[in-house]
Amino acid sequence: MTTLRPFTCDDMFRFNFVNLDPLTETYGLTFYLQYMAHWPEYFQLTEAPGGEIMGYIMGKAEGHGTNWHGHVTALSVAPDYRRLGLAAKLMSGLEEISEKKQAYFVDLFVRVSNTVAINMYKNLGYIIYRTVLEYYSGSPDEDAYDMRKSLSRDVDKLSVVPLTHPVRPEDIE
Amino acid sequence: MVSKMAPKTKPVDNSVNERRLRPIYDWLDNGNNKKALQEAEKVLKKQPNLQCAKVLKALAMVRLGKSEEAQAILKDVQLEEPCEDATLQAMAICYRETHRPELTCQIYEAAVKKDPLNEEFLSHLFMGYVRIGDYRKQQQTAMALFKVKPKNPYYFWAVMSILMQAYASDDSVCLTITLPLAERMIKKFVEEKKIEAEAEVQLYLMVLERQRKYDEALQVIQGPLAEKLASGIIETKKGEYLKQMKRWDQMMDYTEELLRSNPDQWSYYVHYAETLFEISSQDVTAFDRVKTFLFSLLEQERIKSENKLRGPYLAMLYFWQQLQQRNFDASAVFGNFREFAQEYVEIMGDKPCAFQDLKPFISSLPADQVTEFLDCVNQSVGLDDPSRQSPKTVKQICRHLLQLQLNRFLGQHDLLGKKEKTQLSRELWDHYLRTKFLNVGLLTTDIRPNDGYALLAAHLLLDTWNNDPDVLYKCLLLLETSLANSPANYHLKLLVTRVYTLAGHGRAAFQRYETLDIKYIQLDSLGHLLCRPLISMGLPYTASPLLSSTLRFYTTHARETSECLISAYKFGSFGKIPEFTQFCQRLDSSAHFASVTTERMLLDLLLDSSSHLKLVQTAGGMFADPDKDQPDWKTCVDNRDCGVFVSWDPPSKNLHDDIVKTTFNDEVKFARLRNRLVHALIATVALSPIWQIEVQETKNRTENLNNDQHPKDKCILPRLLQELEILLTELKSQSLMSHSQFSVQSPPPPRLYTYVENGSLEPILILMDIVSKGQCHAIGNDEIRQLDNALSRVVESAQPSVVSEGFWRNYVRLERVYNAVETLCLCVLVVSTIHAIIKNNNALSKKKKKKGETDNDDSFNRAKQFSTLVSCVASNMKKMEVLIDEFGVQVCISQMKLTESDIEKAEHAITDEISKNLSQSPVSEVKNLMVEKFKLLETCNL
Ligand SMILES: CC(C)(COP(=O)(O)OP(=O)(O)OC[C@H]1O[C@@H](n2cnc3c(N)ncnc32)[C@H](O)[C@@H]1OP(=O)(O)O)[C@@H](O)C(=O)NCCC(=O)NCCS
Repeated sequence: MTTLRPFTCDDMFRFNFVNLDPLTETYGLTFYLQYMAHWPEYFQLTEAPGGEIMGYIMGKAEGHGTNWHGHVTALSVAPDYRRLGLAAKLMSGLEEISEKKQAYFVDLFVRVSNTVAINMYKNLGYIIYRTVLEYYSGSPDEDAYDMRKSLSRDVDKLSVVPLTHPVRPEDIE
Repeated sequence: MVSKMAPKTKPVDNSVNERRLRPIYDWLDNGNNKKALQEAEKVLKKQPNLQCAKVLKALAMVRLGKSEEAQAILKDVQLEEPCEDATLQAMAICYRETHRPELTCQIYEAAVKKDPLNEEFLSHLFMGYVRIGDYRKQQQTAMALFKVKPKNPYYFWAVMSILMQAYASDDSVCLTITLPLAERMIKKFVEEKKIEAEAEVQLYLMVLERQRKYDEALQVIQGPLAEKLASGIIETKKGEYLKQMKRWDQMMDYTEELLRSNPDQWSYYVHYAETLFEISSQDVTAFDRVKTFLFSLLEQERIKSENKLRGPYLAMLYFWQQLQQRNFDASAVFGNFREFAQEYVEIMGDKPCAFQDLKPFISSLPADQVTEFLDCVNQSVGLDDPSRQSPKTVKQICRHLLQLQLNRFLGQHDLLGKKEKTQLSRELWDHYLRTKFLNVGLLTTDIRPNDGYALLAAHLLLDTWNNDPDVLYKCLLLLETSLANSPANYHLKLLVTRVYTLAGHGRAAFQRYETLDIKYIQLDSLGHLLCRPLISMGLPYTASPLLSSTLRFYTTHARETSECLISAYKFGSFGKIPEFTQFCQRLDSSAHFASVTTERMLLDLLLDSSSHLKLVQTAGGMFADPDKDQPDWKTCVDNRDCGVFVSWDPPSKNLHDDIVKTTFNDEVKFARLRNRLVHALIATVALSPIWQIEVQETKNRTENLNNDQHPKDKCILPRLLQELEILLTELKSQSLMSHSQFSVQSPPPPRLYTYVENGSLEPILILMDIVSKGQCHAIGNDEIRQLDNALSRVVESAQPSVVSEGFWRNYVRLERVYNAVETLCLCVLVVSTIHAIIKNNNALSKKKKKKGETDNDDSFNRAKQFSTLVSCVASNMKKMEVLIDEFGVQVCISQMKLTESDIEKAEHAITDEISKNLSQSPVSEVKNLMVEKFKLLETCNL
């Protein structure tokens, strides 16, 4: 049981149970604010009865022609609220909006080491579309999987034919 | 990127200029400002009047820190009223980087005057007004834009600007003129069928809502315009409007409809309950209806075999609690609370969220049913002999932890004595060790399911602490061990940071704090955990960079947010515009911001003053303005996230709202006192003759003032001292919180308490008063005696014999030591100023005297009195040094001994790490500081 609602600025003062997690990046203010300004409907949050923030999703719609797609920029659920289906719920919300916007597919990047998330996305119908080499900087740099799920507009599922060769970050549009 | 602003349309005859300017843009983009400056100068040699080159030169100068020269260039260009896009945009960047957004408006105003139909200029002008928040001019400019190019967004920018005027002032003009105007403007478009975007409909709703015209708003979301809106919005808005109009009957039907389609959305239950209580005052049958409805939702879940929703179960507890709080006989209406709670535990107990879910409600469990409830919870775990048997699955761990947490929350741990608690914590640790096999295969980024045992065991140990070093050590041992196994668990990191803090080991606390990787907005919401406390713990050098990075966050956000406001206009996210504006204000008024700003300045004075000259330079470099450099203290806000520590303590012991509120108020009071202090100190240093040479003259040069001091400057110090006196008297008359009220999870005790109690401010006030009254060369015996008394008192209060109580005792003791050290060191700064003043006067009077005449008694006396003053400060510093040396041994818990069995179980790397942390002297930084300032004091002889 959760309250699903749009993310607001004030939530940033209280999202620590989600953001102190090492896989969840805390970005500069502009980053969140630009998403709220540009794609407010893609930035949703779930709240517990006690008022704690349980998790949120942040995304956008971008691309031209058949590349018009929804993108998951961040998805995170506080450790105490995992395995309740919250991430799945947030993802289906994002897919629904992308359907309405007549996108061809939804995609996201995930660390190749983050098997929990990768399995979750697989369970939600996503496939590994390609590998992006050294997408995450750090020591050492880490590769990312670009994962995708096609939407109803992509009738022939052309967007989810996996690439056989990895790409470099500068090659992704 | 600067090159982005290069003009899109390039007039042909400008191509030469284009080519010449290109390299400057490139250097600027690459961050090579020196090269950019040289290139600009080269271009200007060939073409001295090329405006854009001048501005780019100014931009390079701004970035090279030569703001003043840059301003001069920009002023000249501005007078020429440039009308060329690239020049204007480059100027706008300069103004943005020098925090002068109002000047951007001025240049575009001039450009628009010359070229009133230029859409580009007008839209820049609009954005310029957005940056400075001039809503009325925004409105005019948006309308002008619409006249030039009748595009919908421009029209709605105007409407939004009108609405912002209404948000900003709540007077009757808004309701009678401003808002109706906005409404008319939108209606006109509706009637002419010109509405295009969802944003426009949303803005329509915002305008209606602001006028409380909910009925009309309801019609909008149910009419043809609704098809432009996303379905989620219609849903929430409808509920909101019905509620506002108190149409409870409709609201009842509507929330039931919503709940039926989404029985897990908590906000619907909250509305449903509110509706119930509104209706039931007239119609008691509502209870039956609601009960039947909620039970039907519950039944749906009960018959499911898996993926049961939490909502309908928790709803029973929630409604029961709501009834009870309104003095209804909840059991009679709804049934047995305990049974609902047990059912929840049965179904959700194997999820880690179970405790957090129950927490808001379980305190409603009738006292006489606690035992029965806990018995049932204990049974649900399925361990026959919990003292020897441990869970075999992750789900069982969850159940077991829930059982332990509920026992604690319902007061069962309060019934245990020290021995039993130690025993229980030992048992939990054994469970931790025995369940480790379940962690195999997890990623380092996964939190270990058995971490909960370690946390709870640590909490139990802390219960029994009572200043026994062994207990803290054991606690660190199990926290550090579990953290090494579960490096992603921030609950462990937070607690271990806190335990080091309570142990009085700030540096170790800081190391752990850093692993939390706290940044950006978190600097505001979580900074209170350690930022100011590091200073209290006597770590000014460690605190310094942390203060700087925090401050950088605060000072850059306003510029960033205003750019996002502009995006919100561009993308038509009108709802976000007031939200962003409020957010920006919330950051500006953050109490933590006020505190960090002031403490940063004080630390600069303290740490950057190896000589009197250096002190003057540091103080002068702050360009302090005692009137402008303080927030409106009354509107300071609390942005701390005080809920970040998990706790299973019973509500009676748990963090009260009171303590949150009181600590906030007291932090603000302290920040205010310190703010006045730092300005008084700067005003004192400003009276040094060296200031005249170092600071005033450069200031005069740049501001073209004559050599006279501002008449204002002379009366600043007496005024500030008076303000300080008033604040201090006020504070002394208030009753302050006792340190023993602070728990492990509470916000750190404000420094205000020890600061006022120890009289930390008095000696500095006495010295500044001497300067303020112009009595440096006539220091009386009385003043010296007073100073000696005041300083002795400060040093006394740092004695180990002064007892502190509660969890924070070590911390408070360190704070008292730091208070004393800081006071002594600040006194040295004032003494060095007195010294400079006397020396200068002596030199002047010597010059006046004819050669051969000897110094009279006067100047001899002067020197004698001053040196007595110096020795008074020096002797107190010596006393303090002795005290610190003793202190090193006294408070440290580094002598804590590990028992053999502890070592056996722990890994050596971890015990080594803890020992290393605890062997760092907690007082090395304050010692260092004292030595530094002692050197400065030694230079003060006549
Ligand atoms: C990845 C993450 C968002 C999952 O959130 P969640 O709310 O627990 O996920 P859900 O409960 O919706 O899980 C949906 C499905 O994913 C799978 N799944 C999720 N977590 C899993 C885990 N730890 N192990 C195995 N499967 C898992 C399951 O199939 C699950 O369905 P089920 O519970 O019915 O079997 C969460 O673990 C998280 O916040 N991680 C840190 C941040 C992160 O990695 N984000 C992704 C970056 S791209």
